[in-house]
Amino acid sequence: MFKNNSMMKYTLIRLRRNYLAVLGIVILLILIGMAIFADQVAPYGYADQDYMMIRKPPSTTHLLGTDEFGRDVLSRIIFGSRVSLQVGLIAVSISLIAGGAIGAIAGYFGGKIDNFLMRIMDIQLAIPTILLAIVISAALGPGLFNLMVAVGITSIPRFARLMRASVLSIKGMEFIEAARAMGASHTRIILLYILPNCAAPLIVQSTLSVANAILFAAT
Amino acid sequence: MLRYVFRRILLLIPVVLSVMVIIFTILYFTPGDPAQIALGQEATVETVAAFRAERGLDDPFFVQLGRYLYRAVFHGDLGYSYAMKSPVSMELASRIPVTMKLAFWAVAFSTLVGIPLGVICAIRQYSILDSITTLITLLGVSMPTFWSGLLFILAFSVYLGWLPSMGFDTVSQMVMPIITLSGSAVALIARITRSSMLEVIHSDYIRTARAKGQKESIVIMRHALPNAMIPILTIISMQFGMLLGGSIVTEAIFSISGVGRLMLEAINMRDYPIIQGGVLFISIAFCLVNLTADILYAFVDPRIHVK
Repeated sequence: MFKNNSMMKYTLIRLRRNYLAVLGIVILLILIGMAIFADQVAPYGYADQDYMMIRKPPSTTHLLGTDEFGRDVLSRIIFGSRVSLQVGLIAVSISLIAGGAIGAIAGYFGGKIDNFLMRIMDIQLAIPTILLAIVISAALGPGLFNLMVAVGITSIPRFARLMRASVLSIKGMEFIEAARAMGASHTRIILLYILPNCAAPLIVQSTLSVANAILFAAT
Repeated sequence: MLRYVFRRILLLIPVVLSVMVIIFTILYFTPGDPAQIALGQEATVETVAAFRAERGLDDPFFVQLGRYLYRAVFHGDLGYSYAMKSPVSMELASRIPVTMKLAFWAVAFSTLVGIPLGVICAIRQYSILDSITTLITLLGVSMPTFWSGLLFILAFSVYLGWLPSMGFDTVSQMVMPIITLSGSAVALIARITRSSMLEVIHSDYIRTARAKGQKESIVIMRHALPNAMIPILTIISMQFGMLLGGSIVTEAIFSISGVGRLMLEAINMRDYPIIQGGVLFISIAFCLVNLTADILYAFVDPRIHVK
């Protein structure tokens, strides 16, 4: 308990020094808040049409202008962020968890298991993303959740390959050897010794993938 | 080493075959009648039926699959495009070089920009340069290519008139598509390089290298960078593989006739033979790129044994 406390404190102190990170958290919180309270924040409803105000440039009544149906663009963006945030987070969670697990197992055990899993990833990589997305939504039916699953599944191989590469370079290190000598099980070695040391590239990939997933869901 | 490469190339066969079977199955069950779409809405019931009979589209699933695989494997015959009436192999042969050129230059550009940016950010962590680079890379990932591509055309072709807005033959034609395509790749490579380098820079052997009085540039280039290369290499190879499959949006915006556009048109037209041929090419390309990456791992990090 004591150790946890000091670690929290340490993190907080480091965070306070890094203005950019604090700024990032604040922006993220504002975005999430806006998505949750869209009904209260947005000046108009997302489908409200005003035929007197079609294709107007930004003005004081419509901050970002209106579209061809006279709908307020700002309100539509605020409501749209609900969908985008969900798609981004859930899709990336799916690919991070599944891809990370596959990559870790393939990299750690190597040999036949590695070959088998990574060739399956090769197969999936070869199938064009659009085609895969069409098939998945055809199989599961249309809908937001299925879209997230589709987007998530299509980027599993990226995470798997990234994870595997990191595991490959880490598994030869001495502390893994030491853990094995201590009699740690495979699961324990992967989860406690390898995973924390492979996290950095996966975190970067995940953060950038959220943006990608949102963009992909849009196209 | 050679045995490993040979075995991996042999493994191409089951991988490519399963890709072909999967794609064939997917296409068979995709809604939309290829005959109707290829012949247009005005086509009579008789002509559609004749088209279907001629292409064997009425045969049972396994008969069609078997025939397709047999022809492709034993005769190298990928069939004829429904819409363009030309052999699939010819269509692909005309598109692949363009896409390869685009993919190669985009990856080369994003690597040459991304890695140095990432290294500089890691050396000067939390400096102004680091923050500016973070900002620019964030812009790079956040701008969808259909948006940034159009902006480039608007700025450099329409207003300034410096660069042509379409085609991909001359150097001036190549500039904009490559930069458009590199946007997110530069960002990804720079961010991965930064985080990977940061991890390495704080390790003991870097301190040792500095302690023995090694020049900082050599510490970074010889001791730090190679040890940080594994994830970077993975990202670059994945990017290359993806771009070899064609970049649908960029190719469409700049009117480049590459694999991506061919595939998009084929998917819209339900032109099955073209889709199958395209995916075949993409799968082979991906496997070879990934194999190259796996071999390079062993060169960059000798602790990884290739076996």
